[in-house]
Amino acid sequence: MLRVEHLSVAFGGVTVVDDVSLEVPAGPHGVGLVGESGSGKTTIARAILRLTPASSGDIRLDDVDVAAADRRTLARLRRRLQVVLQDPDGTLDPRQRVGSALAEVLTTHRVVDAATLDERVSELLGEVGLDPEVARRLPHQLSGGQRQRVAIARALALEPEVVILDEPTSALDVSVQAQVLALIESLRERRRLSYLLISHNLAIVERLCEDVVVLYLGRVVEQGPTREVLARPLHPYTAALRSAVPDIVPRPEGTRIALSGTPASSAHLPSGCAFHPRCPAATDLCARERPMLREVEAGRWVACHRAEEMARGTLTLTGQLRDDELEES
Amino acid sequence: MSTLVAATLEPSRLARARRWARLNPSLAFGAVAVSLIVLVAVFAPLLAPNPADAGNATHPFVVLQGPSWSHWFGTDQVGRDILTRVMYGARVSPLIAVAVLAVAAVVGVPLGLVAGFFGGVIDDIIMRITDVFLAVPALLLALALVTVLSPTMTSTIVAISVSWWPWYARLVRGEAASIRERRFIESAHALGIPRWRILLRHVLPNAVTPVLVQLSLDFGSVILTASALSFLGLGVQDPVPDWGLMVSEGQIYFTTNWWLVTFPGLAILFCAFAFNILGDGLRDRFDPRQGLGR
Amino acid sequence: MTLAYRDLSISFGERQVVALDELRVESGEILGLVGESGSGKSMTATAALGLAPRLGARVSGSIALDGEELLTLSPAQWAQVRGRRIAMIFQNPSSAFNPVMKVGDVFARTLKLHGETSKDAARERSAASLHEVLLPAGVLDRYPHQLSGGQIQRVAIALALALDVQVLLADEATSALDVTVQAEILTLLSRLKDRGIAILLITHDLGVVAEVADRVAVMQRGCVVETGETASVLGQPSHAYTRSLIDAVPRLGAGGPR
Repeated sequence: MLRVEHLSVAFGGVTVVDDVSLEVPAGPHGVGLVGESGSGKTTIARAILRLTPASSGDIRLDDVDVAAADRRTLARLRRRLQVVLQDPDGTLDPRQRVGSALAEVLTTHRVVDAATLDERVSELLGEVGLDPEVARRLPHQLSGGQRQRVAIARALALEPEVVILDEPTSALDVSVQAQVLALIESLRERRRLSYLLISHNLAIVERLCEDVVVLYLGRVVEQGPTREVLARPLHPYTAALRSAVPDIVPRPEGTRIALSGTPASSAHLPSGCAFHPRCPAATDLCARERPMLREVEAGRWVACHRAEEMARGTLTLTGQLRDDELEES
Repeated sequence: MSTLVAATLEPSRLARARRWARLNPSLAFGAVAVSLIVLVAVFAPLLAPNPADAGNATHPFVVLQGPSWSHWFGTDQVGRDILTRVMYGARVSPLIAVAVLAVAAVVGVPLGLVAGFFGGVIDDIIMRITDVFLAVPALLLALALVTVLSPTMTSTIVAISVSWWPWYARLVRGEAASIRERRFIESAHALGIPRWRILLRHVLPNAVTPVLVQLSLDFGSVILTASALSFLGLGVQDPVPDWGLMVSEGQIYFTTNWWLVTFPGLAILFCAFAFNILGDGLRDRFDPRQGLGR
Repeated sequence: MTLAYRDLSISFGERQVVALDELRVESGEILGLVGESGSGKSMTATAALGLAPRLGARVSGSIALDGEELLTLSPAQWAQVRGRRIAMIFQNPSSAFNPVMKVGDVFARTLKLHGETSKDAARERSAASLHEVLLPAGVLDRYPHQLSGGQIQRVAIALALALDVQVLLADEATSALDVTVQAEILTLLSRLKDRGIAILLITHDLGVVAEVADRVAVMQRGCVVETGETASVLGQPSHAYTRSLIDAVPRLGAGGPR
């Protein structure tokens, strides 16, 4: 089980991730990390993987301290905690054949001996729906979808306990996206996979994750079981995000929640609640005081002063688009 | 480009070669020209009319004869056949260039790799050292060194190598530094692949392409530099049939016996040009937008 | 006012990338041109600006703006059409703007190129257009890098409005934007319909098309395989490809992990 507690990451004085806690239990289980640009979701993943140093907080895989691990422990940890990074075009060495890339991972961690290496590579390729013959190809000879499958195969080669998937389908064509999603689903079942899925796409998160963490400018605004959070959001941002997702069957007129203003950046955080300048339900309190994350209902964590009103359904968020005001920077 | 080639691949090898030549003119021309030079160098003893003239032979009765059927390029001031000497010269200049570039690459590439990949203090130290060498123009540095050492082929090679390696260090360091930032390197880290392996297996192969291209381009420059050195009398000495030396020795006869200077000079030009074109062709071929990918 | 494509064929050497029989965009409507990568949708739009040959493509057929044939225009005539009657906004808005020019200068220069000589009048028109896209006049004094992606997109739209274009081509104009910002831009594009502008919205996102397009044309490998009213095409698709595209899109409310 992966446990992150009060994680904060700062770069040169700018806090990019502020007090984020989450848990990825043993599989099959998916936790979604949702947010737009500037939300810090990718930074969280990188901090967990030790690709970026965390400024404070605790990251544990079972009882091993990830944040404080030394070189040797980190190497062992890398077997248990894997990642499929965004952008399949970049994750593979353009000069290395697919089979060699997979073999490299296996030999580095001494997972298999030389005799069974080829067999294992073919097995892995088969598991992600690729022909073993693909092993001889170079990345540029594969399609985007195939490259993503190879990236997934590589992450799974070490039989990790937890996998972090960073926007696994955003760079792919629609039809290919569907295939990769189906692949993740089948792997989830077959291997009882446990993963942290980072995505800006709520529909994908809904389909693959039992729990979701919604981020805004580095802070958690809402956290809880996906189905409930999406069906009955308790934070105005979650509600706006949900209503902004364009659906094939368009929603009725006037039900979309309009957000005014432009998203601030972590470098110039608004006072109080980071979301208040754009929030249709903001009050003076929201501008003054930062709302803390609290358990408003069983299993539902929200950082909003008006969460109870949201819960009761007495808060109206839809309305006319207000005139835009440029943020002074 | 791959669609075109794949769709219209013809069975005959010659036709395929011709098609390739049309698509990569620089590479084709460069390869042919360079092969020609190599052939002449290798088979000089068989091709040259008077092999002895490449050395100390003198023929007092045929000095300073213009181009004729018996001596295509004429003869020099001691009667030696210039065609022979030009052919044998094909062994000298390229040999110097190969030696120089080998040293430059062997010294410069690893230093550049280490500097670019690890960054920080190591990078600073190595780059400051290269800065010192780069501050002095290559030719001047080579000149200074050669005057200290006695003028021979070896000292020419040493002198030019010393001033050449920093360019390769710089070149590779830039490549390594930019490759280090790329996603697949980060992926490799995340997969737990050890740093030394990432450096050798992933950074090096990707950093080496511009080096190969630069090597071909530099070939011509080294030849010119070596020729300049011998022209100044500081490189190889007579009777070695070095083209630069031949130009130098022939210049006093230029107004009356133009062939002493012209043919070796043309040889220098052709050689430098051939390698340059080859380098151009290689660079185009490895351009990520034209080579792999599309 | 109509932008009408007829028998459009675009090829790169021996490879044909667009083979379009017919496509029309009327004023006051949004036509969504939907397809995956390689479907030829971007080239179709680029051709309407006469820019396809510049990329090395061979174009044949007819693209008519209000009955006037565009593909046979001379460069001087194109200068009157591009930006003035047909404008295009791109996926990467910041790269479409010169980073060393202030927004106001871009407006002034563009307006001047198209006949507006008075500096004051130009500034007034610019401010008015910005107001229409809900940006304050102060934006005129900013540089592109000081604006967010959504704001730059609005500026691009405002520029088209200032010139009073008849047709707006939006090539994946919202693909690089956050979902909440995308929603705002789409609302804005919808309002442009009231201005009588014909909008060709090129996108790979069926959801975007469903939200704002009146009609939709689905492209596959250079051909339009289906076209019609958005609701009916997406609700009851008649072509297998359309159906497969719709099925492939993950939808909210479709259920969680099993």
